[in-house]
Amino acid sequence: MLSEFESHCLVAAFIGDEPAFALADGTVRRVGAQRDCVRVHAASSLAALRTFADDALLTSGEDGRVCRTGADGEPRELGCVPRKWITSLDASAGRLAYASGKTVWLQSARGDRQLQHRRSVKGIAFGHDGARLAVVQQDGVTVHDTEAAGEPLELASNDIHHASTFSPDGRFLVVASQNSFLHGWRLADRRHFRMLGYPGRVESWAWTPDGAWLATSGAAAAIVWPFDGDDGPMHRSAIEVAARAQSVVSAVAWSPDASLLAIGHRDGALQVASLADPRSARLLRDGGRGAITSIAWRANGDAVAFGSAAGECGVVGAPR
Amino acid sequence: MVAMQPDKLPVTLLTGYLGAGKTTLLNRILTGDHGLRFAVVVNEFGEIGIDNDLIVETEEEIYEMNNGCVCCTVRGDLIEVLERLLRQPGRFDAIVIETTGLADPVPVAQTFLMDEGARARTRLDAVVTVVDAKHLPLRMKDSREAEDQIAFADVVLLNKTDLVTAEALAEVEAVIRAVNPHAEIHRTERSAIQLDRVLDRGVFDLKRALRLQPDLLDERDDEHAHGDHDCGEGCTHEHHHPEPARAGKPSAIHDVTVQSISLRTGVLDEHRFFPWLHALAQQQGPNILRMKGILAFRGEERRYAVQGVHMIVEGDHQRPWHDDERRESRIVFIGRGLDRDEIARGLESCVATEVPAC
Repeated sequence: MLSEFESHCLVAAFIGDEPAFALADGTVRRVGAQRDCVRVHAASSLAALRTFADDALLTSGEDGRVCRTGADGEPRELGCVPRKWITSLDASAGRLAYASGKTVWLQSARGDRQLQHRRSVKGIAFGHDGARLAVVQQDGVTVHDTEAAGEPLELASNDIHHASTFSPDGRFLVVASQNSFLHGWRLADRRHFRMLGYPGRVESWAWTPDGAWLATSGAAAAIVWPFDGDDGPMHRSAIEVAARAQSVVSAVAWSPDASLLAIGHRDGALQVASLADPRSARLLRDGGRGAITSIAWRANGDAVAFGSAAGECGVVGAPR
Repeated sequence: MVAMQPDKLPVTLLTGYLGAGKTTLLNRILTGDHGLRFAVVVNEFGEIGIDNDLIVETEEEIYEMNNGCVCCTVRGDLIEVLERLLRQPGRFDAIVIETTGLADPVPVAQTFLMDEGARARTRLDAVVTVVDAKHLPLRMKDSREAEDQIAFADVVLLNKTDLVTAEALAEVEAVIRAVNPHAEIHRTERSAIQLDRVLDRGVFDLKRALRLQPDLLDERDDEHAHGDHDCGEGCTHEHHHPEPARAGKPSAIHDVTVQSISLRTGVLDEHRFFPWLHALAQQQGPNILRMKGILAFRGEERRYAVQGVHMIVEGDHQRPWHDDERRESRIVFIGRGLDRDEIARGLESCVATEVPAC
């Protein structure tokens, strides 16, 4: 099943078991039993994510709004900052955060807060339990305690960063740099490490639910780092999964049981492979018009939804 | 090399001091009768409204490229905004970037020359600088940015001409000429100008480039005689050609710290020229604001165009030389602290030695 839309796909997802795609043109397209086009933002969506807690797509737009679109296909506004582009957002454990310019707006059961930063915010990410919020700026990361208003933890680095992610157990924070590597911090002692060797920027990553592995894009193969021991990936090597010549991995997603990794490429190809047998990948799609920007697994693990930068959005079966 | 890249969105960079008339020009561009849809990128919303649907505010973020050169800087905020704007093809036809008065235009230009994503989908069309005829002399005294913006310009709007006397205007124009002998200067009131003087100039396009720069290529009239003149039919406007002897001559105006070095020589040996030019860019890059040239290489039927910003130099073949065109090489450096004699000697050392005709 393939739909060709005229706009970059930000996020591919299943809501319930039905595929839905958040596009950069401000719409959510549903292509399952219900086929429709939900206009969420006036002109353009800038950021999107799938929330698993309440089974919906969250989007933010040039119209300054943050919206939730669930299975009923009715967008609901969660926040609004008139005239500002909301360029990043995240949600976790009942908390919502979104950013424009140097400001992050945080909504939680404890009320709403505005968090100011020295530089423009590039990306925001909650830890798994929502207790911490990492805010990436050009020259470092600010880690806020979402439960208490105190001095945040500042992790400085003279590099240019664009995204961050906490390991599911909260022990590590990983930050992607424009200069094609990953920074890592072990938060307990702030020990710092780098994960090197990427030819391009890391744009997509995925943790296994147990936090043992971090799969990343940015190279000809999916690069999967071990985070199971006390030292994480320090002094250890990554596993290269399913290399594809002449291409670069642009999106990764673990199957619900973490036994398979779905890998999307810049040339539009889609593969699945396992850590147990990283050299043999199964091809689900042999290329397309645009880079794969997002992949999502159906809850039962029998299919993946994918979206591309050229607006190709589809679902393919992923039989075992 | 691809000669035509019609899908690339043109980007106009608008610089100038606060109050010079940038916003007025911007609104003229946006409301002009051209049918184009613009995306406007600004560093801060000014007090005067901008009449456009799509305005993006960004914070100027200068990134050093990871190549060890401090002058290789790009605008990280622009890279991000462009990436987002380009997600919906066909949404608009052109981009205007308006910088604040103090902004350095160099990282903006370098973004379009160096960033892979920006290069692939956009093209820098021209740098347009608006100056205030009344206040420019003061600006030149108290800031280097005003001078840089003129030095870097392809088109200068000498605005608010109604606020100064004819003598003062002539002096201000002489200052602009001293800083940048190669820009087109247009005298305006309230930024009123025909939009084709500021839009779609193609000055960074090596295929088109340099047809516009009178001092560089137009040997007063011979280029016109070939019909290779960019104003189109019915061109009647004054071109404000600089005096032929002016280029390279030290300016008498004491506020001017930028120099322009125009050199002309014969047919070059490309195997000597490129190593020399790259070495010069490496050593003098931080001092070179802009560099442009049209070159004749031995054994090459086509003209070769080069341009550079600081250390970044790029070049490409253009059209063939016409039969009645003198095959010679001309190159211009605009910068600070450049040694004219040394550069001239270096260029002369690249001149191809005579080969006997057969």
